[in-house]
Amino acid sequence: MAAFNELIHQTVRLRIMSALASLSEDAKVDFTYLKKLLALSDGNLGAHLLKLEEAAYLTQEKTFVDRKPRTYLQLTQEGRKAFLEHVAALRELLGEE
Amino acid sequence: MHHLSPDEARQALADIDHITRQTRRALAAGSLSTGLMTGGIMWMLGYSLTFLFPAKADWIWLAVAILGFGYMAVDGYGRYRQGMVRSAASNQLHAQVFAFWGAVLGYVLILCLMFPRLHWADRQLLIVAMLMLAYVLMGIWLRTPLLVIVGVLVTLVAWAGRVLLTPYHFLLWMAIFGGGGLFLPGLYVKLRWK
Repeated sequence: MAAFNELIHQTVRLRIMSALASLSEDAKVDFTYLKKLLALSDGNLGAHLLKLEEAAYLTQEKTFVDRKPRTYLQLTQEGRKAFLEHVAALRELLGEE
Repeated sequence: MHHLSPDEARQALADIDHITRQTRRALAAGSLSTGLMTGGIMWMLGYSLTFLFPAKADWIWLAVAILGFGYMAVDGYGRYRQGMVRSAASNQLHAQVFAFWGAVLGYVLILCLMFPRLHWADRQLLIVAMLMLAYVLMGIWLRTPLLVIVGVLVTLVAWAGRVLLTPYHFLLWMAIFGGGGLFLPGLYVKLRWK
């Protein structure tokens, strides 16, 4: 039986995890790009990223590109596994798996 | 423990599906729209100028190809430098796509050399069909149905133009419907896949 994940199920965090999980495992996504993609404010995205980072579901890497500060986000293996389990739990609830 | 209703689960899965599709589309949108729109402009320019100055066809297409592919290369490099998504797997895919188009364009040139006695309008149709086959294969490979639809429709439009019109009017037909057939889907992707 797959595990339902309360932390991931929150609407914004579910969208963040869905976006990051839809990319290849090595993909690192720019904070601003994700913010625009999900139509979120800096503060809102930042707060939810912190919760996901505390759960070790993603990492934030601060760096410079062309001398401008950039933050890249990457799903951890643990985060990807938790997300996939959560999706499986949702499907099980609907009798799809 | 939060007790989830089937409706909530269904809604969550729909959200996941929507965001997954939106993310993949947004990532593809930049290079796809540039490729389609630039290709469309290249055809509009190339075919309409060839219609007006048929004796200069070779020079016109050479100039159009240099400008068009040059712009695509600069745009692609600019997008790579922006680095919105960094991924070795994605870089590898881009290299494969680049090699794929290199092979297609190489074979288009070889086919032109293989059939030197072919009527120039039939050669144009052959080139269009080869390029559109490449669009269809890319669409299947990258799971982008839009490319399959564009490839099939433009091939049919080009074929109809060759059958129904004189060779010179076929050039004008291709400038409008061939070039437009690439440009408009590119514009759609640019505006709607963000």
